[in-house]
Amino acid sequence: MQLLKITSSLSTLLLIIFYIIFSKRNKDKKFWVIFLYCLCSLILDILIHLSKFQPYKFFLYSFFTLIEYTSFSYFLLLTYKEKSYKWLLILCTILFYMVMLYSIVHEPNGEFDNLTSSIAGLLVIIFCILFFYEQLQDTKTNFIYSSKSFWIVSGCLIYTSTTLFLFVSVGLFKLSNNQEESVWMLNNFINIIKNILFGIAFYKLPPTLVDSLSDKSKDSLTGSAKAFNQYL
Amino acid sequence: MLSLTIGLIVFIIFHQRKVIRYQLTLQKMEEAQQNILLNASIRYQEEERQRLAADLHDDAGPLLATARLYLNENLVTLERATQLQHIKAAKSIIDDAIHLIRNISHSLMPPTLKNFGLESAVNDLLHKIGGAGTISTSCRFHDYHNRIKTDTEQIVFRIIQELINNILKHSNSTFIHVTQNTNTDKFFIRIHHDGNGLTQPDFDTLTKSSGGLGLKNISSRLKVLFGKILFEKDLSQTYYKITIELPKEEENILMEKVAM
Repeated sequence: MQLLKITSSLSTLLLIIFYIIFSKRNKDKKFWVIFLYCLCSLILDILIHLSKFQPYKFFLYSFFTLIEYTSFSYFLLLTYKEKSYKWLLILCTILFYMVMLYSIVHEPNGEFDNLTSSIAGLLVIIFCILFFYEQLQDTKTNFIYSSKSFWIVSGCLIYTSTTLFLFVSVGLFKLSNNQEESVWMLNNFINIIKNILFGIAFYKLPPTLVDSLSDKSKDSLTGSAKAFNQYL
Repeated sequence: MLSLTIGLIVFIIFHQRKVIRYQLTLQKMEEAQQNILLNASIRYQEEERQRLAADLHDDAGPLLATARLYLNENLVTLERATQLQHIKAAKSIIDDAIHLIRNISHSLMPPTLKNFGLESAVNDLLHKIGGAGTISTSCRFHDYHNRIKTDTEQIVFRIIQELINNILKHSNSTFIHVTQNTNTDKFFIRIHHDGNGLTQPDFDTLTKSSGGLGLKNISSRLKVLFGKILFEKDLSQTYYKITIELPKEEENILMEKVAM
């Protein structure tokens, strides 16, 4: 359990180092957001372990839920091309912030902010699926996994979909210490998977530098059309 | 939940690959078709050049050679009467040569098209064909108040010329009637004839086959203009109709709106 916790924190640290090494490939603003999220995640891990911050666990988790949701949703906002999706995201974000504020004000003594975490998880899952739907509708001929955004969104989706029911169960059921430990163990494991997927995104070259399958056929089509016009 | 999510992502990846492969296959087919049309255009151009070379070599060449022969004779013959006769003969042959070269030039680029527009050029063409007496021709342009672009006029004229040549060669028709009209955003030219015509499936088959050079050329020219062609038999089953549909030029749409 401890090993998994340390590995999870180390994976976040490695991810930050990875981003710094490959910073030239990740100049886009949306990857900065993910980098800042990873930084906050590492800081939270450190703070939670320090005993003097133990009484403030609820506020730390709530704050981190806010950071996590804001980072993922801002990343998706920058990635979406459809204006209607952007507006939907902004609207849902405003509603989420209102719920969050209510939760903090009315339940300050809770151990874990399961309500806001669950809502945040559900919203991120919906927005991630919307992203994939938008990608499928797009008629460009690059493979979906050649884009860096795909890996980030896959990481977000896998992380939030796995932790959604974990956070719901922590809040709804009275779990024993062993059960709670298993929940956090799973959370740490999924965190490592998420960091691996983020790492792949940071490592990948931007899609314009990768050979698109259709480039060669597009060139020959253009060449044929030009020769054709000349002969006419 | 994790396995469901992974399953969803894998499904999306495979679905998109399938769609991309299908799009690439379509692109390759379009490319192949464009190459066929391009080759057909090149062959057509070469054949026209050969015909032109043959016309000049077989007709104009001997005429001018004969004229030179007469003039050469004049250098040798001293009798004035004979000299005058030879000069007259040479002049007549040179007139024939000029007439022939003018006809060749007009068939390449009719001056009526450049100076007076598509309507006059088509009228002129049909008038010449009808003049022979074997086939009745007529032409009616209903909405051609503003000329289309010169390049477009040339291409449309070539298409009409090719279609009419095909009708004369293959259909044994007794009349050809050409009409033109427009609607809000389309320009139509219709050719009606009562001979043995093509239907749209015949045209599609011939365009894709190794033959049908002229039809491939028509298809290529229409692609340049973003136009369409439809071959059909009229509902009364008495004649065939060929409809050429072109998008109207924006300038002409604007001019019509201002006129209204």
